[in-house]
Amino acid sequence: MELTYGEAIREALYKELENNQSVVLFGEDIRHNLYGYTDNLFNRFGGKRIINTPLSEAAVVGTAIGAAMCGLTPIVDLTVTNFLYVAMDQIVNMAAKINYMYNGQFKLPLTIMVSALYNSSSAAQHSDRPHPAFMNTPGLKLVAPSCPQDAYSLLRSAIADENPVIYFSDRSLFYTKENVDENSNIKIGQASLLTEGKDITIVTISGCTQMALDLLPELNNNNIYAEIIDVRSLVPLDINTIKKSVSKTGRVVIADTANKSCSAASEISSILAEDLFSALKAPIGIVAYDNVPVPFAKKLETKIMPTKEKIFQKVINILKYHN
Amino acid sequence: MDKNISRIKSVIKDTLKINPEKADETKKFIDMENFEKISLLRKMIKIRCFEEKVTEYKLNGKILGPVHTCVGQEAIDVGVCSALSDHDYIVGNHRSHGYMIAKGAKINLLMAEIFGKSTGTNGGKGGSMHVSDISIGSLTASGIVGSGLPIACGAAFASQYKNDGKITCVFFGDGAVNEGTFHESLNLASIWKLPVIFLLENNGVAVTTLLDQVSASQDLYHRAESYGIYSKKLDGQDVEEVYNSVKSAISYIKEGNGAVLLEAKTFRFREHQEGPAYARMTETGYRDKNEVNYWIENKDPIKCFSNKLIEENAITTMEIERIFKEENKKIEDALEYAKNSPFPLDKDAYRNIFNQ
Repeated sequence: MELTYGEAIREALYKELENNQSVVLFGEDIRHNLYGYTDNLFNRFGGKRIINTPLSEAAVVGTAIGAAMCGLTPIVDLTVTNFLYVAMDQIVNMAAKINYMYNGQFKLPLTIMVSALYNSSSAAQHSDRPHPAFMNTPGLKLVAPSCPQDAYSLLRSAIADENPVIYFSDRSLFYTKENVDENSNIKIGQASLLTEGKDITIVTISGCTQMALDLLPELNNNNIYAEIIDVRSLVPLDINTIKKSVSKTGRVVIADTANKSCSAASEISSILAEDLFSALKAPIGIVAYDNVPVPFAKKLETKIMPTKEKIFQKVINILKYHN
Repeated sequence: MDKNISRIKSVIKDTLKINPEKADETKKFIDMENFEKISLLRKMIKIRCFEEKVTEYKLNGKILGPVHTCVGQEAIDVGVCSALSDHDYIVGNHRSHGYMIAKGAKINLLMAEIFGKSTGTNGGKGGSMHVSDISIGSLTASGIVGSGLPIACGAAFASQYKNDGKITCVFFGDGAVNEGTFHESLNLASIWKLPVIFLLENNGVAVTTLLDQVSASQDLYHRAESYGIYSKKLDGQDVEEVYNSVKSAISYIKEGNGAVLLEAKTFRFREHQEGPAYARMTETGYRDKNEVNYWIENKDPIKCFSNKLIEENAITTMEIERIFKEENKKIEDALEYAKNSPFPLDKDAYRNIFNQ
């Protein structure tokens, strides 16, 4: 069926709630569907399973962790990414470490949902894309879908997973639309090869995927054939799919919605430089947010953020490079 | 000195009596067979012997990392865990040995964990501060003060959701009441009527910071009132009072009234952690030595309960000495077990990052 990205999230929630009685959803303002993906869930599943919580992010995430340890399958909707910080202790000191510290005594089927709200004049706090911070916290799985199908399938996989998963949705993609196959299962940890090409690999994260896809006609007009890979899952990272492509093309641009410093892009770049140095024909190119807090003024945010144009320019520069 | 002692005496005198509505429970306890009372005494002695041995091996360098002992606070661990059922959950903190032993943890595995051995409760991945064993209903033991309260709410939420009749008890100290999670968790437990006991061990000090420096009121149980949670304070040195209060709390919760907070007034006989850096704190005079000595002399939970049982003719001094000897022997055996156990394999460092 044809669904928007936001509708795909709602359908995945609905399906998991319907199929598994142990699934419960905690969140702020979910009862009245403020964020557009909990429509009718309260009426259908009731207040015992669709739990409108107080503004207590730390305690709510901790409650979800405890409930997961004792047999439930909780989902916490923290809405916007920056609310992760309010629950940081429970996420980093508890959720990420319980499996390891107690040596596998507990299952922790916990999903934390957040939306990245950049490029929307939301200013510095609400515009964060903090997925790299959590890549540096072993014990968490991280997914970042970039199309309705992945939004649907990855959310279902996240809920079914017996580990804590942070589900980073991308608000800039909420109204993209495509046909979604409800039976398509996407395992966490699988990148998606979107186009095949011989000249350069473009590795994309979250909303940067759409920017790269939008570039395709222009690249082809310039006789450039790019292999676009959407990582989809940041942890575990499907580095083999990326390596395979870069081994073939010898050139790579990585586009990330995060701030450039210690980003997912810089991590992938570091792995490629370490493991695949001899295959590289040119330096690795990175397009990401410049390292500044996100400014409110649209003109200023456009200046610092990754764009289609910046990716194009970087691709051209990398292709021009010759030893 | 006099001022301090009179303050302490007034605290003890002022501790609330057992809830009169729950007099039945109290009577039931008084009617307990002597051997059941002796079993409470034995558990406290077991913990004391365990902690003394662990301290010895921390100080001689054989145990690595932070070690927090609960010497002086054994009546709380034993009173609480004896009142709980085997299947009930406990959520702990950094001072984690006492309630684990009281809840029935195998001391061999506990000791092995503290020695970082592969046979330990956590396979050597947790250590003293994080010992936990789901087979006795123990969930997390966290070194982040106050972080266990939300976990307990979650366990209680699951019990309520599944209607499995389990109670969750979370142990935390007076240091935790100024953490946001304390307030958030009490509020959640109250609005959702969760089957959880908040067991506040008020030993009056957070590492070296005295409670009167960080809280205008020394009676912390009042804080629960503003969240609509039934709360009371009790003498944490009196194992019978702790046991009875928890039994009453369980009945109250099982009647569907929701969470309870119990503030057990107690005293940390030793420093925050074992080891020279903390031993040095004793000399700084952050707390009154006379006060420390007063509690050790007059409010040792094992001494107090022993004297009471002797007065009741439930036990003799010789029998108590025998219990000490027997428990010490078990601790020695646990120590041997721990020493002889292998360290984890290198590959274990990469196991259980995720549940496969």
